[in-house]
Amino acid sequence: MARVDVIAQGIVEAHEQMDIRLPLVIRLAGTNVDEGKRILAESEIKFVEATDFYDAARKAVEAAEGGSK
Amino acid sequence: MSILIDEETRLLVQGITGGEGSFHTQRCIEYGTRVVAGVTPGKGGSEMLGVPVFNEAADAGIPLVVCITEGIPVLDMVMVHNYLKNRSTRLIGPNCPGIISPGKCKVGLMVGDIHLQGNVGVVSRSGTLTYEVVAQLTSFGIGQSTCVGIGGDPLPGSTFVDILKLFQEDKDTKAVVLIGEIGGNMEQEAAQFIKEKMTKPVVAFVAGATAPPDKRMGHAGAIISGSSSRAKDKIAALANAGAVIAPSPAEIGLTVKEALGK
Repeated sequence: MARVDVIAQGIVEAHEQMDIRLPLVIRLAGTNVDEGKRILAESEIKFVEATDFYDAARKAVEAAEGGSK
Repeated sequence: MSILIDEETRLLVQGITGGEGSFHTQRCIEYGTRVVAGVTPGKGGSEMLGVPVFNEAADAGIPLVVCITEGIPVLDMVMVHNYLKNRSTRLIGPNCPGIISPGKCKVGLMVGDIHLQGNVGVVSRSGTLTYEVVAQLTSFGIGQSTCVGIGGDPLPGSTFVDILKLFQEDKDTKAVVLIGEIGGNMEQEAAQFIKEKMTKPVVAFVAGATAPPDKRMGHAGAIISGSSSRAKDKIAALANAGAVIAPSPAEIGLTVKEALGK
């Protein structure tokens, strides 16, 4: 229901207001997805892109394990 | 075939001139839906997206009403239920993504292009999980007859059983995916119906396996209160009725693929 460009803009705004040090895995799909991906790509946010639920879960676990070593 | 809506459907959009109303009406039209009119009180006589706008929708026995709106008070829904009780109008929602019969008609705000015309019916309390399962099905080449979001409110206009009945009768629906969640006992009623009346395979997923009691989980209707509204009780009832249970939301498509023997 939410539009992906609005979600992406929200991530960008949150990133500006917070000091995010944890790895970020982002999976975007839905209405205006191309616009959402463009907003994130043009931002300075470092993130791992995932393609689906399973991929996102796997990459989040990988990122978490990488951080603890 | 499909249920509820098809290429013959004529759609009237209430609230067509609003921001969300016009945004999604445009997408419905692009998908091929025949939008014949819109309603916004005070804006009668104008046009929106090439469609005439009227001041009010008459109580003219419209057979199907799809309500997308979130946040309708339960007490208001009690009155709506009472009003519809002896009428032929069927209500889908509120607080739902709407309905789509892929390749034919879209009445709602789901993304059209993830859908594929086919033989699996989808009925769900969750919008997002509906898109998830549809995207998974389409990626496996498994098309959908109709996808119905019944909404996340405690008092939906149509229940799982109402929609399962339609899928059971629809000759082009060969299997059904049911996506439930914590709260209420609609899944148990569905299980009873599946056990007694359904001859078509049903794949089910129930969200909220780790949800704590007495905490509302996003949807107004998604709250564990009492002993029957937990995910595990619903899963047990559906499994007992013969439904194939998908173990995770990421594997619903795969579970359907296996259940269909593809």
